[in-house]
Amino acid sequence: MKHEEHPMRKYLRPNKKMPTIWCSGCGIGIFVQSLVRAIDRIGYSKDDVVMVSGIGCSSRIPIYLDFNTLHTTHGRALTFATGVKLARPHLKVITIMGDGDAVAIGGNHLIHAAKRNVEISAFVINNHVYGMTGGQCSPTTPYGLKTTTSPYGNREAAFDVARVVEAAGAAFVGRATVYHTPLLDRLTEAALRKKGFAMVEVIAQCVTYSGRWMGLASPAEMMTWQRDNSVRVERAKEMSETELAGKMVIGVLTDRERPTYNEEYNELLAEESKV
Amino acid sequence: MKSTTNFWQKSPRYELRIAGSGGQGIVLASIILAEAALLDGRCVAQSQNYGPEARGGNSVSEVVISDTEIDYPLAVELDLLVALTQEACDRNLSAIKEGGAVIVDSSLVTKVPWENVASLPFSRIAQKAGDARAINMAALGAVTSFCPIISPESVIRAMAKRLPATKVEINRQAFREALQIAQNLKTEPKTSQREAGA
Amino acid sequence: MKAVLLQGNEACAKGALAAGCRFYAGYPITPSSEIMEVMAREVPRLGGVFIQMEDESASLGAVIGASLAGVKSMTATSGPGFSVMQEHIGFACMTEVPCVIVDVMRGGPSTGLATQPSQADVMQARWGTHGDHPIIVLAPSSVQECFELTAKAFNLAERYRTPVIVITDAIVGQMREEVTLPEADMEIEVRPQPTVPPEEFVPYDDPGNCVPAMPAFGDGYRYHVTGLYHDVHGFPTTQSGEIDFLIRRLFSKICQASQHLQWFDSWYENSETMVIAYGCVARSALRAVREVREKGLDVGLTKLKVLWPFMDATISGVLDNCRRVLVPEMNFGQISREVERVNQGRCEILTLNKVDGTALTPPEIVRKLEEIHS
Repeated sequence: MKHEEHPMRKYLRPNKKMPTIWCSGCGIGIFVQSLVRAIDRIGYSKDDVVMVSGIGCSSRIPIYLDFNTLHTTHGRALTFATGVKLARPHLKVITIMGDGDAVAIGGNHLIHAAKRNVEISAFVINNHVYGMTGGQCSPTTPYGLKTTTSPYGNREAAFDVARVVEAAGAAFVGRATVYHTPLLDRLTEAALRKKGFAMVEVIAQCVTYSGRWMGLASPAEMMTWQRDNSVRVERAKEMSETELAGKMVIGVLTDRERPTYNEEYNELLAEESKV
Repeated sequence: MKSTTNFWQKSPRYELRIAGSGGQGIVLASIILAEAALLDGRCVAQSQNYGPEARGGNSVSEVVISDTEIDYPLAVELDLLVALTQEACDRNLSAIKEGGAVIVDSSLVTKVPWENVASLPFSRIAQKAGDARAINMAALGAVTSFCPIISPESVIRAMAKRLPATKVEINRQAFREALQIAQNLKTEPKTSQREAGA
Repeated sequence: MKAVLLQGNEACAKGALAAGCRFYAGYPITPSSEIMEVMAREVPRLGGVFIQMEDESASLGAVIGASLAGVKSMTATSGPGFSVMQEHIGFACMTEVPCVIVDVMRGGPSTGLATQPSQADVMQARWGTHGDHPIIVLAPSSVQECFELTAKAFNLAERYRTPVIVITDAIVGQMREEVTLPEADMEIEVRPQPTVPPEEFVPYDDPGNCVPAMPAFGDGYRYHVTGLYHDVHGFPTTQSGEIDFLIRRLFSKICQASQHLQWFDSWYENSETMVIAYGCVARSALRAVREVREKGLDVGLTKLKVLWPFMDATISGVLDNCRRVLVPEMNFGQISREVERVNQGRCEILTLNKVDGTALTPPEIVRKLEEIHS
């Protein structure tokens, strides 16, 4: 029988040993597929793609992918990405961060990258928990959830990552779950194509920790939870706050035109050279 | 007041401090002086020390001038102190070497327990020239008079380099006026502490 | 040669530009801000990139990102910001990304004294980031050296693929002196480039001199960069052999640099008493040495321009030819302990420490020298 290569195989590093470090049933892999499919559809040259990540389970993604890849420090991927994009603007810069990574330790970098509108496509993989370190409470952990660092229940409200980034000025903000794969594909492609800072919050299951804490025993149960607790943005507009409580609004949350940092900077250079 | 040139002959370095409050242009005055000394072909080190305030607060700047390479860039014993507030004068008087000189603004500094003092109305000179902020350049006029190792021509050239073009003329006028008054003061052999009128 | 009156901080910025720096990311802090202000004005004029970041960590992150994209990059700060940067200094060491960090030392710990000088970051520059790592640290003591050593810092960063730290202080950084700027372009080094096609490229192998080639992102050599222990391909590893190879190579490259980094100035060598000083204190020491020599004391001075890797060979030479050494510092003795380590009982080592936020003055050193010789 002829062995047929997976169409996305070309984006995996030929010299990186498998398997990945992710647990079976982890939601990250679904996003990785969505990401390479979007890159493939757009047709970027692999040499022109720079993938920058922070620290955490999802930040291991770039290791396996055959691009210029940079695995940085916890929370600070966007600062490195900003340097790359400004130094060599023709490169397509993508950052991948987790929820603790992007929103807790990297929260300030996240809002500043959005404010500057640097042309970076940022993906925040939100599994509601610190997975790599053992299931501790994160800024997106739902209120009341018991984790290893909130053994009596989390008494803080969860961050709405998408709304924070939107308020900070991002040109594009979307949210999808890995259950809603066609939507995830569309948002990922839109974020990659967007001129300006584009952020997609990707809700993904951590079967080992958050699933356990939420009493959802299997990947299938977790994805069912994603389905049952998501509301399309179009429908959400017709719902009351009470109806939306505890629900995740998914879809394109913001899509606007703003001059990018590179455009502003080029304008500054042009004006300076006239003087 | 006695000229301070004799210190120059004795010592390989000439140490000068301008002290006042933030916003009086203390640092700029010392930079212009340093630039002038450089134009005169001398070695120079300029430094400053100030508090966290952008305006007000104590501001001190120093210029060390020498004909040879300057090892230590800060003043150790002042040949000349320029004080533009009473507090600046009080605080810095102890840093002057024996026989050193003090130049003060006559309206802002009234008590100077020191022998060799020249008191000039820099504020009034600046106002007359058209800008109260030119007090620092007026002070440089007196400095140039009492410290002839710096030529007035070089100070004027340095001003043109470091001041905004629109401000040069007013400052040059304040500088010249103060220089003139100080020259007259020097030629009158009277008591050591002087009040010069304008 | 062009002579101009420049501030120490301005000279750092000009030295960086002369060495080819075209990316600056920073966060304002006294007494270093003039470096940032000069770069904000000059870098865009040269077609480079200047960006003010949200903090010092972000600044060095952006600097490392830009350097990976092939542009010579730098940042500058002072103590509190230097503390915030430490995480990324470690990242640059581990990933071997050339960059230059200027730390204009001020009083500490914590917020300390913003406008007052200090030399208390010497050990932080060496050991501030966690983990065992080598580092290069240069210490100018004049405005001229601010220009020259910052320019050289870029060359060293490129040649050895390492972060290089320039530590000055509030006196050297803020004062103005005459500087002679090289008219013709100076010698400029760039990071080693691969000589093999991408498919044969092994990003972290030892080419023989411990410094692997470094193509820029976008050059067609797609490779992985990580702050984790990594194998020669750049992939994370937990294999002890691979980790040992990496860490030993990182140390070896700076060890080998050390023999070319014996940069110092000497006055009255082989005197009975030698003063060993650096930064602004070297200036006070020179004045003091000249004064006590006029009084007949046999005292000389060795001024260090490189603090790390510590110049064991140079110091050993000084210790072999004197009876005692005085190490004056504006801290509680950071370099003096290194001198003690090299000394191994040969000479008497004396210290003079000042920590009150003001300069260690020539009279203070004179008094100490007279006391020693009495």
